[in-house]
Amino acid sequence: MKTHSILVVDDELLIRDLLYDFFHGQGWEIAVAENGEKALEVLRSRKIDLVLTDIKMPQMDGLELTSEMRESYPDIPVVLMTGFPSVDSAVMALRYKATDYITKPFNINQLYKVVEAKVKENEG
Amino acid sequence: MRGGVETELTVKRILVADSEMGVRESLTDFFVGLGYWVDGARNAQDVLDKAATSDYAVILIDCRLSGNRGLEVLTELSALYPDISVIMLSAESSLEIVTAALRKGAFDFVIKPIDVGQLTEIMQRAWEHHELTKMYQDMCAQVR
Repeated sequence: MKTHSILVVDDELLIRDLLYDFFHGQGWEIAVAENGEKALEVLRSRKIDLVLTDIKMPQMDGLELTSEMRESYPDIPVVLMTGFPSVDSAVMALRYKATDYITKPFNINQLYKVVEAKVKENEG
Repeated sequence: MRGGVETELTVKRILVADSEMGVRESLTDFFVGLGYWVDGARNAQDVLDKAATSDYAVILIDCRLSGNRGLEVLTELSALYPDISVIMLSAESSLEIVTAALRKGAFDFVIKPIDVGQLTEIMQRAWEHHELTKMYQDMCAQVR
């Protein structure tokens, strides 16, 4: 069975650790980054099936990362997470072709269903 | 008929779907002035009927069309005609509506009152996106 890979981008160590443990436990390959710039470095160095990123981060935020990815990695789905949901950021997420927009706190099992479905859908 | 005879001059055909006649007319006048071929639709069925018979590049749909069925129409259009760029319009600034539109594949989302400068720029991008999608589909069909 094919192993899927996910890149988790969040400036909060606790969230990165939580998602690392969870996805690792589900048999996924997982990479983590603390901001958009570090995420782009990871994307340049290995194959990633989906990016799960926080919006509000220092240096390069999740929306900027999504915008950059639409240029360089248009086929990789991006799921945005935010603890500060707003209509404006949701419209920007839509405009940058994010795959989904999830508000924190999230139910990790529901988040997993979204991520799994998007990766399988993208494999087509 | 969709996919009919191509003319030398590419017609930028768009559909404006809003239950309010005033909105349909003002958007029609505006985009006709920019060189688009514009049709109007006043309800959900009208949109689906017209999309089935004309080659639209872009469709603008008010979320409140036919008793809030705008997002349903978006779902149907995304499934049936993935090359059409759908721009949702809404007088309601709601996170739930925007995220639903995102998940259903809207090209963009514009909150009323409409800023025509912003809508013009979005329309141009939507048109370019449609052309690229169509070109990609044609190339895929050639290599099959």
